[in-house]
Amino acid sequence: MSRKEDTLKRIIELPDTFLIRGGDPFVIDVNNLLAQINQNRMKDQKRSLNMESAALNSVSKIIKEQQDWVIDALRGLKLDPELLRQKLASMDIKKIALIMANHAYPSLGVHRLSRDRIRVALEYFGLVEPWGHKEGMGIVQRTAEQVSEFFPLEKELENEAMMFYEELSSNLKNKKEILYEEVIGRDEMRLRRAFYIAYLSSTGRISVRRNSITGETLIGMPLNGDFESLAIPLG
Amino acid sequence: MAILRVWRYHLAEENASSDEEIKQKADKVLKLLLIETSSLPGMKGWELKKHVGKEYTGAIKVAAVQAEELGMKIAVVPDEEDADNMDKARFVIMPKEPLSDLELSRWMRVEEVAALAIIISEITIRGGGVQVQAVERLLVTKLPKWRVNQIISKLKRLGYIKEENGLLMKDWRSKLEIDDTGLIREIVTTKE
Repeated sequence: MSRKEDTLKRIIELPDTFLIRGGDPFVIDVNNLLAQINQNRMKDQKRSLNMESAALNSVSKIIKEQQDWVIDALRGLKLDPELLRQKLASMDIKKIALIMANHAYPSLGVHRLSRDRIRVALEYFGLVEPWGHKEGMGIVQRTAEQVSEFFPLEKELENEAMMFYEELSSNLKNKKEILYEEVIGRDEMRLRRAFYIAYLSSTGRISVRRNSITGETLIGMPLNGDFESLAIPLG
Repeated sequence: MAILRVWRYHLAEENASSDEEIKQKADKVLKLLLIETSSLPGMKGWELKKHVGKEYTGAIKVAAVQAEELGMKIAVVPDEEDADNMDKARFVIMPKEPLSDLELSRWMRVEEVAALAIIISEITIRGGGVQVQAVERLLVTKLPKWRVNQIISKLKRLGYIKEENGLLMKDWRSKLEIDDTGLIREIVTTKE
């Protein structure tokens, strides 16, 4: 007798040995038995099919034994499965849910809104404008001559930037952050101030950040002390 | 003698600060466990360790006392494959008392709670596992088919039931949060 045939034969005889021995039928792993039947196919197809069907029949006997065992166990607890099913069938959904509530201890948790949901709420209440609706800051118009004035960076511009920084930092003491648009203004010094801000942020003296919820660009003090902030390129 | 007194003073100071530190860590543990960061409640031990430090188990013990005063308890759900490893266990805050009918709708929708009760009863009757189709047949007597599928998926996602080899079984949240013996007894003994 081959090893495969021997395995299938053991499965076929299992319910008989089991019934003699008695005990908890759940010690038999039905899934494992099914896997074994699947793995032990023989070359002789006819014989293999015969033995496989006999083995499956044995497995079904074990499952039946397990089911009976559970029913007996429930009856031992004075709970009849059929009665339970009938009761559930006769009750409406609300009644079942209310009974369930008496025996449920659900885990507690505070639900936190995501930033995206907060933005949707702010947009709904009209506190911020939706994405794409906000008017852009516009492009700073400058001529080639104006640009060449600043490159390479003159010592004079650096001094001017530091004077601008003193003024800006005194304003930042009162307010934590100032709107970028407020700082650069709309007069003829706009371009020069934009360069000062770029210079100061690139040297880490100020930080420029974009509020992802409101879409505003804000100027503040460096986040982790001097010379540690990063310059944010502005389009 | 004076040196000894100073040394003792420092020691007392050190203990006081470490107690305070543990209390702060316990507050942090409570906050972390209460604020949901995913669809599943609570946090794994390794996540708490990351936020609170190596002594997170001590902080959990203090947090459990604080939770007790608020009518809650901290439950530990061991990892299925590595039951002794606290880092892999999940820590969850639960109420000490069961829900009242007013709180029911805040947990899940009424039909979802009822479906869970039916599924748990059927799983218990059948000794731990029931075929998905059998559950669907039971639930369609009370709910539309499309809703039944939705509810089964939701209960799986929330960790109340799991499917293995076509059989539905109780998952960790059902085992932790539901007193199934009490539930079945009350269903059977309720007068129509």
